[in-house]
Amino acid sequence: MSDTGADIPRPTDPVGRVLFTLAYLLVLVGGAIMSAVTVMTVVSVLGRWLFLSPVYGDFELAAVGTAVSVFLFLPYCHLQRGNVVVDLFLSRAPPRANALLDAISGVLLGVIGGVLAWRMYLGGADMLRYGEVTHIVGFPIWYAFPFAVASGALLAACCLYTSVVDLRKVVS
Amino acid sequence: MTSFEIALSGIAILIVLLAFRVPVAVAMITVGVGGYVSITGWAPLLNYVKTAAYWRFANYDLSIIPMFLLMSQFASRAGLSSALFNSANTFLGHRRGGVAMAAIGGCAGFGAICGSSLATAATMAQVALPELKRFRYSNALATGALAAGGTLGILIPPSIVLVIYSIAVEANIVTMFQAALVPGILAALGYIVTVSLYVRLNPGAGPVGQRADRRRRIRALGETWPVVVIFALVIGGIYFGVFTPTEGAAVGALGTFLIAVWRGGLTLHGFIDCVVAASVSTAMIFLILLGAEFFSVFLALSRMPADLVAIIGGSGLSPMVVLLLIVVIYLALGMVMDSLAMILLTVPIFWPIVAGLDFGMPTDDLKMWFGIIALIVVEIGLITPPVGLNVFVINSAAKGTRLKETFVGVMPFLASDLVRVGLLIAFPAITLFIPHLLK
Repeated sequence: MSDTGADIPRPTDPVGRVLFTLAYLLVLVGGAIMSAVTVMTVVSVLGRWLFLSPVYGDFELAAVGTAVSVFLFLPYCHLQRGNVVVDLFLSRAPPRANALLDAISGVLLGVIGGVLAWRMYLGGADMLRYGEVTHIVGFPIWYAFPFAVASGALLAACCLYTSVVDLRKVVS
Repeated sequence: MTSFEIALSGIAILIVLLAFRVPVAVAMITVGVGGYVSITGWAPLLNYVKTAAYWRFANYDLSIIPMFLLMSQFASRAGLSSALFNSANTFLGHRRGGVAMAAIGGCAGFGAICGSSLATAATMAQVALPELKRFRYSNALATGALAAGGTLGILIPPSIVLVIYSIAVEANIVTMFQAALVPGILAALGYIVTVSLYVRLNPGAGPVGQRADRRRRIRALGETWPVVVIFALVIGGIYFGVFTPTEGAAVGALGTFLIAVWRGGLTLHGFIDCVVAASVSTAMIFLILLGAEFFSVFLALSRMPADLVAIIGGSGLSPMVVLLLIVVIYLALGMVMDSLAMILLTVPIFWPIVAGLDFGMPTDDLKMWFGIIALIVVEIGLITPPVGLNVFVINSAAKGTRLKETFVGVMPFLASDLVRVGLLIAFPAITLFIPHLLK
């Protein structure tokens, strides 16, 4: 788990800096949404106790808010190398071998991010075309998809970047 | 290839990918997608992924995860760890090994407002290690007790792994949290007994600390009131159905935030650090959840779990033998894998097997009983070599302690864990007692 707060050094090259800044901005936006969802949930509890009126559609808004913020968190998580790996056989392997394997994993995750962005672009378009909304408050579901598509695309770009960085370590 | 063979090859490829350091989530998505395509072709998959990730993430029950992670972050910065440790120390410190017992008591208290083992271990180490050093505790006992005590973060509700398990087997989160209470307290007591046996055998390892009079005890206990209030509010509220688990998590996150501002001096900068750290953990967990979704859809399409249930049902193995085999597999996997990934990876295969056997209890009880056993067994992985994450966290905090000393120090606690697993398997009532009482 990555909740021990061990930060990896920030990239110093221009491409890395731009990607890092973009990913960090997305985390801040996602964190703000998540914090807002938390506060809304507490307000809803208080409203139900004190005035017998919870926030209208609080469950749905929390679900949509969670989905949007999770998408926004993904690129930064990858840049922080936050995704858990199994460290068994290769923890004592030479750093170059590990860098090569990390590069391959990066390509795999990059393809996943890219395909998700492409398919969710179409999925969001479907949601918009068919006017899909949440059951109670009628919140248009397609609103979540631009965030998801942007995050998937940025995730793909970040993966490409980390894979190139890892490959440089292999050949150097 | 039959679909059963496709599923078996998928699992084999997954193991190879994991061995080559591919992140767990990436490996599960890759194999899930590959298996899906080999069974149904490309078109259904491409259609499925248009919205699959959205529907996986947009789930009210899952909103609890980022909120509990935020709560853990704020709790670590609320300055409560020293209050908890000091209060336990005034009651236990004068005994032989008492300071180590106090560290475990502090971990148990912190685990009551924090759902993460690593955060519990790391936070309590900051206050307990200097005291353990001051009273000349052996490195092995000091770090071993803290590494083991950290696992109480996950056993005592709230617990993030338990939330993940509940969602994976479609169990009621509320009753799961109720079921975890007695096993969690039992774990803390077991560790304290372990310390007392340990110092009886090695009297030099845990000298006596200071004795405190009753006034100091009461005052130290009073200092811990924010923990009591938050635990009573969040867990009490969830147990008695005053609010949903997600609402409880939101109340807990806001409550610990206020205490972190008031007592921990949390600044805007610190707040942003908390949110970003919680975000990275959230993304990691949700990506594994997405991987588990693809992987379990693939397994379900292959009908492999159902076939496996039929094979095991026809093999004449007794349910207890099957359960013990699963426990052994978990112990082995736990040596190299993260507990949360392990639960998500194995539950789609193991739960149908367990559910298909006759343990003489209704399915809802079985979900709780098996879930708590699985939770404890996967948590043991946090303190076993070669990859015990809690051991690493504590060891890096304890300057001058060799990793081997910590692993040696943790062994008696490991034994206590195994005894407890045996008790929980033999007496399901320990787990089921509270949920039945509150029903």
